[in-house]
Amino acid sequence: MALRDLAILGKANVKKDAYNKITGKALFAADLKFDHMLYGGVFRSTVPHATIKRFDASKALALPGVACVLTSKDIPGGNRIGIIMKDEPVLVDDKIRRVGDAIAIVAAETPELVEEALELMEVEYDLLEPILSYEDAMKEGAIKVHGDSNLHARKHLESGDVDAAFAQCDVIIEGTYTTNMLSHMFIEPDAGVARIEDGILTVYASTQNAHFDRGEVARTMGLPNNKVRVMQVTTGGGFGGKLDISVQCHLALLTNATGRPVKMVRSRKESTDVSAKRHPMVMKAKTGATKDGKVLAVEVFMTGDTGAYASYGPAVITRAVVHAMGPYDVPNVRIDADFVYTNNPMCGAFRGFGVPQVSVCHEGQMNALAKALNMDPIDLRIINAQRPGTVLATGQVLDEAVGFIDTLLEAKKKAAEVLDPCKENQGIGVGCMWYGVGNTGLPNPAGAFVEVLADASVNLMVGCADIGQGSSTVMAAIAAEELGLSYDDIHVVAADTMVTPEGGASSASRQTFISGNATRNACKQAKDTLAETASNFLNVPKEDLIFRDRMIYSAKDPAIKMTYPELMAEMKKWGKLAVGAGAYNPKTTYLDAKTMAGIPYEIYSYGTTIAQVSVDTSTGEVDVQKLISAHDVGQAVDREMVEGQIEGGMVMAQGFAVFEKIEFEKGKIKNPIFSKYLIPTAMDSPEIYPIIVECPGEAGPFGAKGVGEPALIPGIPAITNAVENALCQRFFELPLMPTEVMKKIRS
Amino acid sequence: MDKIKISFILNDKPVTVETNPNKRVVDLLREDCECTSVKEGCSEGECGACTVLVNGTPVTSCLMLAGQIEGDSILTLEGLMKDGELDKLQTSFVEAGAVQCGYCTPGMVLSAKALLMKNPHPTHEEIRRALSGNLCRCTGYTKIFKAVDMAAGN
Repeated sequence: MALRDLAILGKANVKKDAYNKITGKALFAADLKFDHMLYGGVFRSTVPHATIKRFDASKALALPGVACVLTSKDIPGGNRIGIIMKDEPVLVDDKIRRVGDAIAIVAAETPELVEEALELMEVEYDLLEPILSYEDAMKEGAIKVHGDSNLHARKHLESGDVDAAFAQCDVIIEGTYTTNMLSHMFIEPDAGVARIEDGILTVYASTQNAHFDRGEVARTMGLPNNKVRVMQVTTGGGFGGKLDISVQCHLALLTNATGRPVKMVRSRKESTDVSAKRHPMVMKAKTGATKDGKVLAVEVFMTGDTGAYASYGPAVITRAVVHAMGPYDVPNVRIDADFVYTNNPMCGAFRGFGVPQVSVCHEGQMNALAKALNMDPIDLRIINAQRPGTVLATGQVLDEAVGFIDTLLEAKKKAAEVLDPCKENQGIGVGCMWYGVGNTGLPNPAGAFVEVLADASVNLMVGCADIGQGSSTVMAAIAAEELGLSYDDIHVVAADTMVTPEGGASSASRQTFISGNATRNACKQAKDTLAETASNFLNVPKEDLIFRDRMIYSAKDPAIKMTYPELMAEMKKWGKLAVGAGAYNPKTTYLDAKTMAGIPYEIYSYGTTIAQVSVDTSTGEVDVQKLISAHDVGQAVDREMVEGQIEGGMVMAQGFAVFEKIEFEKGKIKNPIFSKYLIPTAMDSPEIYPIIVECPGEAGPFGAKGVGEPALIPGIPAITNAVENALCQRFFELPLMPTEVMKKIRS
Repeated sequence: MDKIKISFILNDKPVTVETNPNKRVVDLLREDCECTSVKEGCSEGECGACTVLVNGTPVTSCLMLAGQIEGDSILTLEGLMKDGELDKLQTSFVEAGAVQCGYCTPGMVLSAKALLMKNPHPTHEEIRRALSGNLCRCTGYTKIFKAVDMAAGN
């Protein structure tokens, strides 16, 4: 692919939110204050499965300063929410399905009074038998968490003739891999404020999807969508954990009941207890290859626990199945998956939607295969790598934008430069991934509005929520590139449902691609009017005009030109407005219900990590020393921000591989706080070498793909494989806790 | 509980606040002094988002009570700009790309400030140690280290 001649993209711009954040002026939800504001809190179940025999809030209501206590009977609209399936009550009605289910909500004059009121509420339960594992859920005659089956989803993907292929293989690798429940641990706990503004129920929320929130609030309140406004405020990280409804519906109910603004700020414990977690999964895999290293067949059966509610579970299982064979061209594939409902904590979206879990499995298999065949792990992956033209198990044929082999080669080159020869108990491991950008086999459009103003400054309105990853910066750069203006000319308004069009979720690494294309399309529409005016003025055909660096000129004779302010004056003279509305929906198809054949994603990102670790054989502690991670991002919109995603992803991968785990017992999380759930600190952070590979296609805006989740995924198996190689042992369960590592060392 | 008056220096200005003696400093600063840059992330002194400098030393203000800061000098992110100019650390955090979601940023910058006030040219190891009480889930810390290096002229 020839180098593209871009004016803005591929450089580093000052993030749109940087100044407010570095001066402390950025307002997060907990920082908002309104006159006569009340505070809200939630009375939650302490048992995993029960019906409510008696609930009594009379003592709480008698407390001076308590404005109201609401239960499910006080909901004016519907009482079921959920991203994909509406199976979660806003307030418990029929039964409790998990520890932390919301039974009642309270509003009071101060946060202290809220706490006091919650302590005065009384509940008696009729306990039901809790379903606490996959096995419990699938037992014949088991009590049902929802409806008439505990099987939440079952998926099957098959291509080729798997059994015949295994019969031809020279080597077969088998393994059963387990990954545990993880918590996002975004640093800002969920929070929001609601109030009535000019008759509109307005919710300010820490969220990854304001437009989804609007629909849920409107349905809960029985209001039309345009009587609800959700505004995303500065959001302190999400990683998938702020996609579900947190405080939004409760706030709407309380503000509606009291007529006053209400604020809710979750404690760290409450935030961890009830926000969605990463699905724990068990993956039983069989991989067959020829003696030359060509993988002929892969078979995987995986089970997952989605907990009490579906959340993004249906997306996680589908994505996990589609990605289970890894970024390889495998002609014979059979993948089966069962996800169940239980009374455990709810699992949903967490950076990668099941792909981090399956990467542990397919890369564990590849590491073992390389050893069995005595092959270089990079060479083995190159032999099997997806390439342009590869036919996937879903039947989709890949286009030219497949940069996987480049990531392998670039990472290998860097490893030769920066990794040290391994000493005793040191190891090097390779991990790879692919990631379909956007939602799986579903329409998932985004929109954008743009207006070029009289002075050639621009307002760009996008639904896409910037949660710190920098999407507003990305959209501004794309708009500036398309319009031929400078990055600083573009002001971005994001994720305000009364101002911006639908953007869909800031998830699935989709916003650079989808909102980016919507932004570009909106700009193209505005540019069309601008070009018409410039064409008349300069007497140059529209198609010969170039917009760049705040100038408009003829491609054939750059001396024929005008400035942007001159063009805007000309627009004014003729009564023309430079406005545009754009949308983009990725070119996917629904997947066949039986075979999962179809086009799950329009584009794919690829990545390779090489890790170097050292293991302390007296304690079992794993020291992650160096991580090289090469990512095919199509086209980097902002190189510094791409690096930031890779570095952040790599350290999150370290946590995943080495020490993070939600411990729970009888449905109750035992370590919901930072002193008990450890995430990597500055002392843990390894040396990271981010490598940007650009293999642009025609689909993304100027060729850009997504990187948010790809940045995490390959680091996890790379670290695991490095530990395996250091100790010449196989590991089948993450995290690699020192106790488990010691067991292996002693064996 | 009877309210007490406490006087301290906040961002170079003397202030007197009437408050419950057992109010946490994080709440005092956020609610009574409009310093909302002081963030709360865990309420147990683990995440460092509520870090402020007390007489130049970083402390987690969620574990400190109002009565404890009588007569002390407190620095929050609001006080870091001098005469409308950004502190070198603020500039370097922006230039290095060290700000993502921004929730850890105020505490992180203040921990870095305390380090540079005591040790203008810290080693990489000293930077890591000084920032180890401030959790960041977005950046992987790499660009934060770079920002501190830039501010130190390393």
